[in-house]
Amino acid sequence: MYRRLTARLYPTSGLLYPALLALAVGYIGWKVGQSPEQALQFTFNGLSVGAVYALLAMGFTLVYSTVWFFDLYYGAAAALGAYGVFYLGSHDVVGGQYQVNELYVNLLLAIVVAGVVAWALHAALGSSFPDVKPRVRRGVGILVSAGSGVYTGFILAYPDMLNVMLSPAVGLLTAATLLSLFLAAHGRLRPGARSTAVTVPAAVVAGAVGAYCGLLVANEPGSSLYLSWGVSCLLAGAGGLALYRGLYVRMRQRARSPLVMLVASLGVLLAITALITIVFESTPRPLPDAFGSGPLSIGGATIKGFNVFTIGVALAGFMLLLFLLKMTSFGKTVRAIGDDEEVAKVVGINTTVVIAVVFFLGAVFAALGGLLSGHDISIQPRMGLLLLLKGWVASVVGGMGNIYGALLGGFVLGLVEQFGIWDLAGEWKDAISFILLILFLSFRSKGLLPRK
Amino acid sequence: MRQRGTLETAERGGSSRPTRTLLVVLAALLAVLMLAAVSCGESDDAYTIGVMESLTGPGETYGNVALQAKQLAVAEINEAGGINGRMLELIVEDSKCSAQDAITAYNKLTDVDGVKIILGTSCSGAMLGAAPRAEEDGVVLFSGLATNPDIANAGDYIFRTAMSDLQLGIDTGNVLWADGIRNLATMTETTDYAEGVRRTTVDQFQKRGGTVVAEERYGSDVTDFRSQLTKLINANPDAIHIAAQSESSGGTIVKQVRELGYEGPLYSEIVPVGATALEVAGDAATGLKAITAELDPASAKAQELLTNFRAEYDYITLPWYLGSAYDDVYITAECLKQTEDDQDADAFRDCLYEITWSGAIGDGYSFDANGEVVGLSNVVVEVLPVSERTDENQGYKVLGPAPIE
Repeated sequence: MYRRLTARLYPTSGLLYPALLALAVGYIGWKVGQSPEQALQFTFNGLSVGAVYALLAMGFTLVYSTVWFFDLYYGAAAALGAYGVFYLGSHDVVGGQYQVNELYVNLLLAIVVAGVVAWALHAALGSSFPDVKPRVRRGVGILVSAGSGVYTGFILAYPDMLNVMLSPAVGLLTAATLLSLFLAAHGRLRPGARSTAVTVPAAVVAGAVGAYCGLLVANEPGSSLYLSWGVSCLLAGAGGLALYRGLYVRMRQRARSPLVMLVASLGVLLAITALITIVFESTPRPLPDAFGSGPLSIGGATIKGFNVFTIGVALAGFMLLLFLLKMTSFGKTVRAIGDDEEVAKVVGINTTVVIAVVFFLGAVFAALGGLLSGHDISIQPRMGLLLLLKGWVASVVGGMGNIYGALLGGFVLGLVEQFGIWDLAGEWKDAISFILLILFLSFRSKGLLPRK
Repeated sequence: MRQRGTLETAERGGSSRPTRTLLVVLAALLAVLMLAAVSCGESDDAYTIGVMESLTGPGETYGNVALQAKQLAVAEINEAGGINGRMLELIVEDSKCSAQDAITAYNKLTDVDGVKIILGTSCSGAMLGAAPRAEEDGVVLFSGLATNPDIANAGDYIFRTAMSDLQLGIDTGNVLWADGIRNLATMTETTDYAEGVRRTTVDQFQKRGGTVVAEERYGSDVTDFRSQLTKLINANPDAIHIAAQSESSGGTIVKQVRELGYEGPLYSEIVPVGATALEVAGDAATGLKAITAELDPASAKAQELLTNFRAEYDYITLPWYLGSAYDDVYITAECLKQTEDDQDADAFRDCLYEITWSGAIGDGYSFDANGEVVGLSNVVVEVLPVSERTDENQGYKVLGPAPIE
């Protein structure tokens, strides 16, 4: 019915799509012939911004294809990721001229982290230790979450000692990762042979390596910047998770309409943007210098080392997401929920936990995109909304709900934006991306790579 | 139970209610009268003038430095015994570099605080927004930083010690031509100030015989300039001229144009060589030439001001504009000394037309019939490599006065 209707409304839509494509390719070909160097430069520029769009589109797609509503917090997560790095490194930016450290910001984030940890402990380990008394379990849970909140508060309060503050966390994380990797490998090689004779020495070795790593980080102030990336991604992720558990779950239970959620998340986005403006002011700010700011010259055009890194991060993020979704049981549950949440619940999947993890992951992708774009250019409070829109356009262009499409859509959008302003003034850049969106919505609403 | 009874009696005691209302009204009236008396008493003690600067937003760097310079001058004047024994007092409002916010700030200063003399604003857009109101109300608006040419015709009560962009544009056009630039590309922020600089520069440059081969504009919230810069570079200009409103975007443009591999000369106005902009741009800014007003290194007054400013605030940026804002307060103090009334804007205006002043930004300058400053000139400065930039030299060296036609 729908198809017949559209066919009547747009009788040429079958022809129009290839015609438009041919037109675009022809135009770009003509332009490349005119000045290959500028075309190459535009390609580099396009890939650099496209990588950020792709990161955003991937996270966006992950969230959208699981819960099927536009979570606009997603844009705020991008801005939070970037401003988190600024917050932790502001003593390094422009001679410390814009240094900020507000007690209430630290408190707020500490509370969010404590809440998220408490919920995560409750959800993940709630039924793991049936022998332990519930009262003890609850006590330990409260203690651990309060401890992590206090730790977060301390980390945020002393940003100029970030590497020292974080060294225990880095050490613990390294040790735990090593140990679990070893145990997993051991378990796979010799099934059923797990014993204390193996576990204890392994734990000692992993602990030693972890301690060494922690020490290394503590003695290297230069690592602060990269640690702050991790911290702000985790904070933005915790924000996403807290929002889901604290607000969306309740609203999903009460109102089935995704529109209500859309409006609620719009409110969240605007509120966070306003908060950022209050704390950091509305003027664009630079982030501390990262590596690779020198231009690399390739074939008459230049690209920054950092942009190459960003493209690499986008590809690595894509691989990671692909692995998570296609090769793990977590991925299976995510896809099951995306197909039908009710049925997934019926077959015994803890949908609340899985969706919470999806929100966390999505926000981490957004934060990563935001902070990489912040290092590349600079940051401003409205960047969240702009990046959200670009990520959304990219995922529509690529194909809603398809992560291959998200990657492709991001790079295509980046390139179209660049090549689109070849003959127009640069101010048209945003207009072009939205014209592209409208074209796709009306003629190929499934995107370049439709979801199967 | 008894309590309840009391309440009821009180409620029922209708005859006492009007009396109480009357009493409250009387008390309120008294309070207002007393407050009025107090504020009158204050104005007897101190001369009160308004200040509007862009303390947040795109113009925050120069707005804040201008305010600090003014506060320094006021502190000096008051420490030396004030004006005829009366203190000078500033009421500060944030005009945020926009016409709308400037009007809000202006209304607050004139309606609530009742000032008749306002020093400000930092931004041309804000100045052009507030100027028609000030002209209509007969309030003096006196800016040390706004440079848009249109301000010349903004009215009889509008003055400035900032040199018009008309002069800056003519000087810049001449510098470009004298340096052998024939094909120019321009990168301009879409604000009154930056557009004013671009227009006047290009007019003079074309008058001398130059060609503009590419021009791009950007909004104040843009942070990625690469695609526009790519287009400029690809037009093969002899030089790129940058006119920015915010130091952050000015610095970012300089950084990104070098990251794109452009090695040709860059020219700008003052904003891209401010302390913040140079910090953002780093070594990319080395060799950037700016045509700007600069304090005379030989002037004792200017050097003393810089020393005092650094001692007070521990940094220096945009020294000429700092000096201009500082001089404005001293000129105001001199005129108040003559008029002896901070509410008499007409006498103050006439004093400004008459005055010839020697201060930090120059000797023997005065105001013409448009309220424009005469007797000052622009110079060419060149940004030094990062290793040679110090607090004392602001990161650049003065090459000399701009050539004349």
